[in-house]
Amino acid sequence: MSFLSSQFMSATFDGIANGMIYALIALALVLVWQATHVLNFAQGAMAMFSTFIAFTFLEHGVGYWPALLIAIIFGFLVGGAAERLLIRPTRGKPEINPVVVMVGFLTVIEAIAAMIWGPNSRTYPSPFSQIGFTVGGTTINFSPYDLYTVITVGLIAVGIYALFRYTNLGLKMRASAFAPEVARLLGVRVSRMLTFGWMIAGAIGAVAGVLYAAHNNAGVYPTNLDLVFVFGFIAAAIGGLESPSGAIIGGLIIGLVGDYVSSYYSSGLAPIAVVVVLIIVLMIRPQGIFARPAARRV
Amino acid sequence: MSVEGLETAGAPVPAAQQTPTPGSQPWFTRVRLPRQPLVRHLLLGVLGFGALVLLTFNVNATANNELSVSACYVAVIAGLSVLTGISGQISLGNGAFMAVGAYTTGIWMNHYPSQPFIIALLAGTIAGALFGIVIGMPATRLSGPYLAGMTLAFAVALPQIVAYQGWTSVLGGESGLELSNQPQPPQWLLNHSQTPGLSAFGIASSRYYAWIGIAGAVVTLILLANLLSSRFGRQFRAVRDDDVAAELMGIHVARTRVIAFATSAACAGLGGGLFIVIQGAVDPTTFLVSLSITLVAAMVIGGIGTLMGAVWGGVILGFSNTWITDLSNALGINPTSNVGANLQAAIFGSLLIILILAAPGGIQRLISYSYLKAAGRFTARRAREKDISALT
Repeated sequence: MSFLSSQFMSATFDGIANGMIYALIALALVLVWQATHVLNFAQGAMAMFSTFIAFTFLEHGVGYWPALLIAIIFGFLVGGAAERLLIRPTRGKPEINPVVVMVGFLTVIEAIAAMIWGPNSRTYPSPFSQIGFTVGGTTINFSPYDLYTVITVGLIAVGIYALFRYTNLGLKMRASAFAPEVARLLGVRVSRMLTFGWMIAGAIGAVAGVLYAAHNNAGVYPTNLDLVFVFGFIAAAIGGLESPSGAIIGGLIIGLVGDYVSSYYSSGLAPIAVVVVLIIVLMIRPQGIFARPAARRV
Repeated sequence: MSVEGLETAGAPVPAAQQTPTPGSQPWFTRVRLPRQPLVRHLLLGVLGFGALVLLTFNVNATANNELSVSACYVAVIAGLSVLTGISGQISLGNGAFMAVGAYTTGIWMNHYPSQPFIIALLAGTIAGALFGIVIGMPATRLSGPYLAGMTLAFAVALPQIVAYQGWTSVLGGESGLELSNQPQPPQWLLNHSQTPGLSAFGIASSRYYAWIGIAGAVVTLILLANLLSSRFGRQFRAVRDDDVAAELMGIHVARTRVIAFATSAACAGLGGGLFIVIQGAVDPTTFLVSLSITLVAAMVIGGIGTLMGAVWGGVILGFSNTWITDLSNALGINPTSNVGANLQAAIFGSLLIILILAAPGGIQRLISYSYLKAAGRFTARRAREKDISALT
């Protein structure tokens, strides 16, 4: 029994892997929030549905990687469709309208998934071993699959950073989010940029759904991402909802807190512990840890 | 009759009170209600209660049971509707506040079996409000999606906390909490069921529970109607319409938002308390996050921001199980199959989207539109007749 296989380190390793998945959902929420100032309550459900689509292809003999690609494309399209068909009609309406619409969308998606695939959990195959690495003779609670998760999330984060920082498209998206009127005057197709933000978020969500489905054999079932969505939202809120890097760090914090509480107390208490973390953060620093305070706050 | 009695109670400022022009005399002045809000709401509440109690005598035990559950939902949805429609915030966790109220009421009743259950219901209401303050305080200070997200998180987390093994001795764990002394109809009512001539009023316990539920819902509606015509109601609206302007007018915006949220949580606590009194037992799966979302759907279907809309929403929710089963039978779907079991969620979710995009006023708006239209036509004709008679 070395330090690396102690209860603390086991929880830490698992927390990192979990936290990376929460970070992906948080990142998707931040992208949507930046684009349209809507919190996408259906993000988890959309990801779940994309995962089920991939699962169906897997069942018909398609390999893991092509299925992942199909899930990403599906998430991309659903994200765009949601913005065009559900969010755009609520523009200029009271702030709660998009919330209610997305909650309705969440309900419909979960109901349809349960109608098609039933309520039971389905095992999702994993492309890498779930058995922990062996370091110096002890097996640690960090498997090749966890490493794959961390690397994937890292690549996506770098990709998003590069998109916003170095590409023309990213610049247009930032301009559309920051000053839609000015961007429109300068010839940016603002509405197209908003849709594109939703599409990227949908694709990222699909990756998160697929990663989560095989993580610790969680499986895929209609409500399997409800809790992940909540953790992702809290991660995004801790990071300030505006900041992609804040979302990643928030995800890591939430993953670690959740796993420590699960490991030392009970997994049933993890959600409330995370809610308490959010309450404390909002009390001390309402704008989130990583966001700059907004000028108008009443 | 029941419908008429409550319909005017629903709209806090119905058209009937807004006398149009000084010259014309609308036909409904003959049924003008008392001007004082308290008297008006009490009168309508008593009328509505009487009508619904009469209704309980004319339906069977199953319908009475659904009626009593509907009444619980009415109390919850009325609070949610005030929060959403009047104060402009939304809660996705009122099902969880129902759980708080239900468990508090249940534990209180099991702990103090000799006390009347009204006290336990009060305890449940207060517990709901306290939880509402704790959850709402950090989130309501911020504009944006924080309150919705936080309440959703609470709703997802709560069933697992309730089922937590460390608290099984208090909360009953997975198997839930059962009332050891569910309120029974008082002896004099039972005696009367044997009295010749009164035996038609024979009291089934489902009917008695329906009375309890209806009484709770009516009291909630009366209190909320009074709240809305008070200073608080005006402050809620001011904060909803323009928080900066409200702040400049000297309204404490954050406090007003917390009060509105705690009010809705208290209503949910009372609804949950009524639920356990009526059903006799609850368990963690009674209050899943889907319940919270269904409550929002029922509120939107009934009509956001009107108390009468909450009545429609509660009734639709309370009776929806039966109606959906009938619908699946009519469509030839097995109600226990994957499709049948999720039909309700699919319908409620679709209605939520369609109504918000196309008809955000819900049922109550449709009713009041047609009511106003009819009344307006009538008034116009009377006015025309009057003008003509004045000319000749």
